Amino acid sequence: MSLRNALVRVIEDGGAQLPADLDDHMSLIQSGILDSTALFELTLWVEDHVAPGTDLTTFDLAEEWDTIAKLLAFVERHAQRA
Amino acid sequence: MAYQIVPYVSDLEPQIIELQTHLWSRDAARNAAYFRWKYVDNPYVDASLIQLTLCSRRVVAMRGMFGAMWEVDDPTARHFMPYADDFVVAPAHRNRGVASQVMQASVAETARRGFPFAVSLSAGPVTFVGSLATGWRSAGAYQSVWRDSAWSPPLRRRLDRLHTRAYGRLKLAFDALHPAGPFARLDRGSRHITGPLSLRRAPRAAEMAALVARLPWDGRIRHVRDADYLAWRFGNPLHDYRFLFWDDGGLQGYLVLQRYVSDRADRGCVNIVDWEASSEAIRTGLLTAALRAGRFTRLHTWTVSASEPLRILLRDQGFVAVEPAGVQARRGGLLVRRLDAANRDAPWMLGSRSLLRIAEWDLRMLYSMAG
Repeated sequence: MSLRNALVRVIEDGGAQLPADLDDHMSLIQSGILDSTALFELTLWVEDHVAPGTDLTTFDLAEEWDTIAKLLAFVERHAQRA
Repeated sequence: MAYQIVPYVSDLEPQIIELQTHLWSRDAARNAAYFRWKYVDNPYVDASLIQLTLCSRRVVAMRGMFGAMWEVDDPTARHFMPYADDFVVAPAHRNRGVASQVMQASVAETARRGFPFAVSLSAGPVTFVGSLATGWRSAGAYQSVWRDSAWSPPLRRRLDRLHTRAYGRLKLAFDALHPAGPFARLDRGSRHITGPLSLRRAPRAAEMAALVARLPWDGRIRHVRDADYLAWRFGNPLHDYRFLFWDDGGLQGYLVLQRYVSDRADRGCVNIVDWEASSEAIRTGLLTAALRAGRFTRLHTWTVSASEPLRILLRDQGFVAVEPAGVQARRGGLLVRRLDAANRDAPWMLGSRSLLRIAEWDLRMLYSMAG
């Protein structure tokens, strides 16, 4: 499974209802699509699978994780650092 | 589904109490008492800062802001910084944008009243992450330390893994047999607390406030601890407190222990929520008396604002740091939110102190609804 599809699946499994026409630049957090438990589940997944030790308090979560494209970029940056 | 954000009105109180069975406790009467205590009897502000989400005229989400009064630099200058808490969304309405809407509405209403900052000292992990996504910033973690009795950790770990219905029933039965919970031994042993020491179930608010006022303070940010605040604060219906006093020609020290009574909290844990003394010897005497008389299974406190001698004392008495990793490590952290958008780029300061550096705070668990 691609990283993109894995991210989408984690978000949906967390309870978020993604629109059928979801594109990678659609706002998820600032639009309210991704909040509450789905956002929390996503943070756990990122920490467990992609970027262990990620400190959520050191960056603007609403900005840097707001779209699938931004999430992929975030993961890529952290993967390179690792 | 169509959602509507509305401010608190008293007609909605029964629905709030029902909604909070998902967070506060499953006991509606206890929730009603907690609501009245926290929002109606609050010494600083009424319930009007609460924001609610309605769906088909039913309350499905809440974000509270209750009154908290802080001091910094100079004890004569007081600063009102409301405390955001009690965030809950009914399970059927989660992950539909309700959480961020009600959080933003709460911030907007508090800003409209002219308050520059708000704080949150007891966000759970979901609320913590949701807060970060809506403009809150973390000032740091509380540096918890725990003291487990020698036999308990393996047993507790085993029981913690057994999240079965049978374990739940066993726990309820145990709680029913031991209504004082982890205070049972302390209460039974209170006759052995003699000399300058005494154990009480109620605060001596005026004397405690007078002691706090006469002890040195370095000007870091702390909650006001006057008699009115202390008399109100220890009335929390979700908590039970014990007060260990040291008298020698007047009150020279106190140590406040707290346990949870809600069925949604860890009822086996005891917290040291406040602790003051006019000397290190008295401070040590209070702690050792509490440990000897209480023989608590699990005792917890924060050390982020503790002096070096206090940290050493706690370590020597068997307290150890057990900070979880990752997101869990931040579940107890201090959150701050700037409300006045006009000053968005200005430093987040209260007096001469940075709100975003936890070292600039003189924090006690008492200031948090965790304590």
